[in-house]
Amino acid sequence: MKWKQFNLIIFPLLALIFFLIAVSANRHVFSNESAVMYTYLQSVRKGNIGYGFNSYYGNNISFAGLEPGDLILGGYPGCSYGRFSHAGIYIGNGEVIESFGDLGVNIQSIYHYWEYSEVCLLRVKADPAVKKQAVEYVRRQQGAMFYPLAFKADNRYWNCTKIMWKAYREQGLDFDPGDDFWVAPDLFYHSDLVEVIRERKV
Amino acid sequence: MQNLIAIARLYFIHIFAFLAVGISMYYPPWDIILSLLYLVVIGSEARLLREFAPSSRCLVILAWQVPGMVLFFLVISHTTLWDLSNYAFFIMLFWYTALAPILSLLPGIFWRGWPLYYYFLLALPFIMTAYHSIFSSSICSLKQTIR
Repeated sequence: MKWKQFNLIIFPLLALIFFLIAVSANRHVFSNESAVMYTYLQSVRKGNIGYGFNSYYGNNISFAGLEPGDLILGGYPGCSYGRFSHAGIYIGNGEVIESFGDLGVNIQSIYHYWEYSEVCLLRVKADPAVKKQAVEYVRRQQGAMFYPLAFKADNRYWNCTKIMWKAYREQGLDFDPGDDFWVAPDLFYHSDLVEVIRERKV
Repeated sequence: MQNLIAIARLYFIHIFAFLAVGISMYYPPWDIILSLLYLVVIGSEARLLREFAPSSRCLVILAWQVPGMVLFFLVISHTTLWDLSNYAFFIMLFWYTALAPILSLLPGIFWRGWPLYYYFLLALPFIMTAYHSIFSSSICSLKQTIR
């Protein structure tokens, strides 16, 4: 009988304990109105859930001039966590490394970013050696697991932005000085560490 | 009535394990410890089914894994209607959050274009059905009686 009660109580109790610890250690995130979780909740109230209306929009942006280590952002209309829903890091030869649901951290052709209704190419303002190191970091994570709400603290779960954030964080460049739980793609767009190479909206 | 209570207990445990493991991912390796605890608790729940009739036992186990199986079929159907297949995989990742820490320990190997965790996640409804069936089976309880 005791085991039957234990089985029911243990996880609600643990959820509460970990939640309270996380809240008390991250009050700055909860008091930040532009935190990712609040952006998401505001979007949900407007009826936007998930990464938006997925289709082939054919933005046909030119990828000319991209250097390894540059970042690519893509977005669909109605995305719930900002203007952009997806991100990848350019590794050269027309390829990007990104993290996505069923594929984990994987290499894709850069041309799949033509499917987005909005796309933006960003140049990271860093030494080419630093950018090369960032590319090497993401290459080492290939095959690792995707989890949509991957916290920044661990190295076993990745989402599309965490892998880029971590790759540059390891080189001393922090795209999230606000220390949020998660990194939204839009944060890269607004960062002082990048300059927009070109962007397109269809 | 006892079937409904058993099913409700499993869903209650599963949903709160999702929350607990999800939040504990912020404090690795606590997520792995909680995931293992989840398996212990589910195993313990399965043992409670030994007193049930075989048909009731099957009903409880299948009812518990129905969401996972529906999501599995949506994913493998590759349906593009409302991007359902894609969203089904995302939902499946959330639904099996309690076991995600164990999947995250798998080596980053690709097979036929997909990483190892993809196959294991898709197999989880069936793995968990088997896990529950083994722990709730009368064969296990018979072994204990002999000892």
